[in-house]
Amino acid sequence: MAQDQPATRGDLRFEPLKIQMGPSHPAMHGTVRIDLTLDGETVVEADVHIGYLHRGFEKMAEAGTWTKVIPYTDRLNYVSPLINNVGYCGAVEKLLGVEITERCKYVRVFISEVSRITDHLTAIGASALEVGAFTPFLWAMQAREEFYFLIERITGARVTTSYPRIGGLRWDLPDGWVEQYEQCERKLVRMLDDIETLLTRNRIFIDRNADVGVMKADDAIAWGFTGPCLRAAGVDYDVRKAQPYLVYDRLEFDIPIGHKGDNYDRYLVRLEEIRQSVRIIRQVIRDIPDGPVNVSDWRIVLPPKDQVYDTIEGMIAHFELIMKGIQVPAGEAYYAVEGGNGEVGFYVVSDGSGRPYRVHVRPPCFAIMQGLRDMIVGGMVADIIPTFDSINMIGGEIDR
Amino acid sequence: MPTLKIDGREVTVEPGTRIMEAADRLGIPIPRFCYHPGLSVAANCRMCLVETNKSPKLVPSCYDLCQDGMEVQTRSERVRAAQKAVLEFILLHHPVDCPICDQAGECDLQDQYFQYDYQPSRHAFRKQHKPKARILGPQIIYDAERCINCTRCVRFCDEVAKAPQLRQVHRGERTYIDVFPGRELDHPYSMCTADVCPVGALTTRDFRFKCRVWFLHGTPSVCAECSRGCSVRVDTYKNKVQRVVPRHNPLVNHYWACDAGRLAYHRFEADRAVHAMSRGRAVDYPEAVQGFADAIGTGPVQVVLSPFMTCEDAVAAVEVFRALTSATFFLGGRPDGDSDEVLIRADKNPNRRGLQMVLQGFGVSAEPLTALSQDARLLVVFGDENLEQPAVQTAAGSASSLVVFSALAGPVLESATFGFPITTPYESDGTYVNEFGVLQRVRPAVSAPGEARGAWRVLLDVAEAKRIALPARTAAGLFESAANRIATWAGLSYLDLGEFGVDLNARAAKPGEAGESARGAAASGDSNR
Repeated sequence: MAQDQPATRGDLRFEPLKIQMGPSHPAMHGTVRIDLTLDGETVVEADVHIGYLHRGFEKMAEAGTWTKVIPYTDRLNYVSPLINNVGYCGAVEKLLGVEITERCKYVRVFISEVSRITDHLTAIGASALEVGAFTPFLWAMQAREEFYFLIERITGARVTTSYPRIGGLRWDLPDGWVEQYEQCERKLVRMLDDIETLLTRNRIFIDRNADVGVMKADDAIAWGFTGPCLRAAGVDYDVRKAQPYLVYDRLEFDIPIGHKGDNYDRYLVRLEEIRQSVRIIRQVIRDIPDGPVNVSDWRIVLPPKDQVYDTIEGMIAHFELIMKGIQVPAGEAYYAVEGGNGEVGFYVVSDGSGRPYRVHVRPPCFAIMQGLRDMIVGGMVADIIPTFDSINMIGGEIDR
Repeated sequence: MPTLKIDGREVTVEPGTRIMEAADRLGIPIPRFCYHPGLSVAANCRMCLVETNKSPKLVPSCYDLCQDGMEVQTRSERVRAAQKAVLEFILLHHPVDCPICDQAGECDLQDQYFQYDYQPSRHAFRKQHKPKARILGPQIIYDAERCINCTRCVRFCDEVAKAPQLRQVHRGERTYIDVFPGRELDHPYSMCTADVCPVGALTTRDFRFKCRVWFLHGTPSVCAECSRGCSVRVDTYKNKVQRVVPRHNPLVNHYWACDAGRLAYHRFEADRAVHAMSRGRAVDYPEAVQGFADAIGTGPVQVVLSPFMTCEDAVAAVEVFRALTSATFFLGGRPDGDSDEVLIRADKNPNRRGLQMVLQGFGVSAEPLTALSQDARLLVVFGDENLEQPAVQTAAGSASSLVVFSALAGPVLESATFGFPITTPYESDGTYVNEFGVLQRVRPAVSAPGEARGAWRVLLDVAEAKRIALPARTAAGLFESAANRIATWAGLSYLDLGEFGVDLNARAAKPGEAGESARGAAASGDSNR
C-alpha cells in the first residue's frame, strides 16, 4: 500500500504511524530491527531487518584449519552451542568418511539433548516474561543454571563449550556425570510441573498467546520453517526422525506437534520436547557403552600426550595436526542436526589443502525470520513481543 | 619408447627413464628420501618402493627403469605396508627433536610419516644415541641422531661440489656421516648439504635457531654475489632477511648456490644509509633532489655506473643524463675474485652484462674507471662498491661537486655534495642479466629502510624536477621501453620472465621461436608454483 498517502478504513481516515522497533530495545531479543507501520495499535506493515550481529563467521572459518572452526560454532546459537559443535564436526567427519566410536555417538546425543533442554527452557521462560509473568522465567533460568553447571563440568565452559572434536571429543564425560545429571533432571521435572501449573491453563497466558502469531502448515513449509515452529503448525518433521544421525534411530521418543501454529502451540511443543529429551537421555544413560571416545587415527585426532612427549611418532603427528591441520580430501558434504530451533545444517567444501574452502551454515532462524512479517501483520503491536519470542530468534545464528 | 601404466594411467617415456621420473611427470606422488633430481641414484632409503608386474619383489622406483608393458602400482596394499615398515625403521632411533629442530615445518620425514605411516611407536627400548651438534665445518652442524643416512650430502660433495669431504662411518644402525679426522667440511658449497638433507641432520650455522620456518616469507629473486646470478629464494621474517636458499633453475644454477652468495645479505645488515645527505648533514629528500637537479645541466658530467644497478636503474640513468648534459659514462664494480668450474664466477658483480646491453642499446659507450678525469665539475657515483675503488676515490676528492648513490652509510656519502640512500639487491625491483645472458627478475624481499629507494626512483624524481619526460614511471615501464632498443630483449615484459628468466642467447640465435619457448617455460614454471 502507498504508505505516504492517508488511507481509509471504513469511513474513517487515518495517518499511518511509522515506528522503528529495535535494534536496541528492552523487549527485543538479540539485535534486530522491525520497521512498523501502525494504524492505531494495529500493525499494517512490518519490515524485518537482520544483520546487526554479523561477524563474518563463514569467512573467518576459511582462515584456519578445520579444527579452528569449532570455537566459532559456539557463537552460532549460543543458547545451545553443543548442538552446533556436534553438527559441524559431523559435517567434517562425513567429508573425511570417518566413523566415530559408539561411545562418542551416545555422548553427542546426550550433550545435544542437554542443550535442547537449555534452549527450550530459555524460550519458554522468556515467553512467560513477555506477557508479564516473571516467576516462571526465574524458575526456568534456575533450572537452566543447573544444566549449565553440568555443561561446565563436562566441557569446562558454560557457553563457549567447544567440546566435540573432529573424530571424537575433547575428553570423555567426567566421573559422576550420571548423578549430576539426575540431580538436574529432578529439579527440571519439578520446575516443568510448576510452570505448567502457572501457565498452561492460565487465562491471561492463553488470551495473549492462543491464535496469535499464527503460521499455517503450508505457509510454514513454503517459508522453509523447521523445528518447533514447524511442528507447532502440525508438520511432524524432525531431523532426528527424518534423517536419523548418531544413534537417534535406536532411541524411542515422540515428536510432539501442534494444530494451529500459534504462539500457544509453540509453547506446548517446546514443553513436551523437553520431556522427550529427558526420555532420550534416560535411554542414553541405560545404553551408553564403554570404550574410547576418539577414533584412533592420528591423522585426525591428536595423539595422547605421553606419546607426544615420549615418541617421535606422536610428536610428528601432533606437530602436523597443529601446524598443517587435518587433511580433509577434496569434496563437499552437507550434514544436518536438529537444533533448538530446527534444522542446523553445515555445508562444507574442501579443496584438499588442509583449510576449509567454504563453510556454510543453514541456520533455522533465518528461514523462520522470513515468516515473521506474516505472523505479526494484522495483529496488535503488543503481540509482536510474544510472537517474536516464540520463534526464539538467535542473533549469533541468523547473522553469523 | 617404452609405454607403461602407473596406477592405471598410461604414459610413454624415453628409454632410460626411471619409474619415479615417469610418475612425477603424471603427477603421481611417490615418497622419497635419498632420491634427488640433481644427484646420482643411491636407492638406499627404500621409501619409493613400488609394485610392478615385472618383478616378484617390490622395486625402488627411483632406480628401476621403465619397461614396455610395465604396470606399476604405487598405492597397493603391499606398497603401503612397505612404506609403513620403512618409516617405522627410519623413526626407530629418531630423537624427539621437532620442537628444537630447525627443519621442523619443512621436514620430509614429518610430512611423509603423517601421510604414509601415522601409527604409534612400537619401540619400547632405549633409543640409540649418536653424536649431536657436531660442528662439521664453518657453516654446517650435524646431528647424527636425526640422520637417516640417505647419503644425499655425501653424493652432493662428491658429484657436484667435487670436494669429497663427507663419508659414512661405522656400520649398521651405528652408521652416521662424518668428515675425515682433522679435516673440515669447508668447500664453497657446503651449505647445499643442509638443503639436500631431507631431515634436520645437517643445518646451517647461519640459520640455526634463528627463526621457525613457518614464519618465513619466501620471495623468488636473484643472488647478486657474482655474475652467475643464481636463482634464489630470499626468506624473510619481520622485514629482515633470515636466509637465502637456492631455487631450481635449469638455465642458471640447477639446484645449487654457493655459501658466499647465501651469506652476502650480512653485508647490508649494519650501517645502512637512511637519509638523503648534503655536505655532512641530513636533508629532506625533495631538497636533495632539487639540489641535484640544479647541479646538473650546466656542463659536462661524469657518471660512474655500478654493475650492482638493475637494468632499470641503468635505463633511468642513461635517459636522465643523456637528456640533460654531455655525460661521460664509466662502468665500475667490484674487482675480480676467485672462480671455479661449478658456479662461482670471477666477476663479482651481478649485472655487468645487463648494463653493457643497456648502454649499447642507447648507443652509449662506457669507459673504464682509469679514464676518470681529475677536477671534474660534477661526478655522480652509483654503488657503495665503486666508492672503494682508488680511481673513484681520487676523482671524488678533486671533483667540484660529488653526488653519491649508496646503500651503505659512510664518510664519502655523508660528505658528498648530495648523497642518496638506495636499495640493496634484496630490496630492489628490476632485472639482472648474468654473465651467460640469462635475464632474470629481481624482486624486493624486504622493504628499504628510511628514505632509501631504488636509484631509478631518485632519477625519475630528478627528471621531474628538470621537467624532462621519461618513457615510463615504473620499473616495468622502464624495462619495456629499453626492450624496444635492445635487439635480444625485443618484445619482452616482466610477465615473460617467469620463474627461470629468459635466455637471451637463445633469443639471439632464433629470434622468433626462442621468445615463444622462453615464454612457454615461464608459463609452465608458474603452474608448478
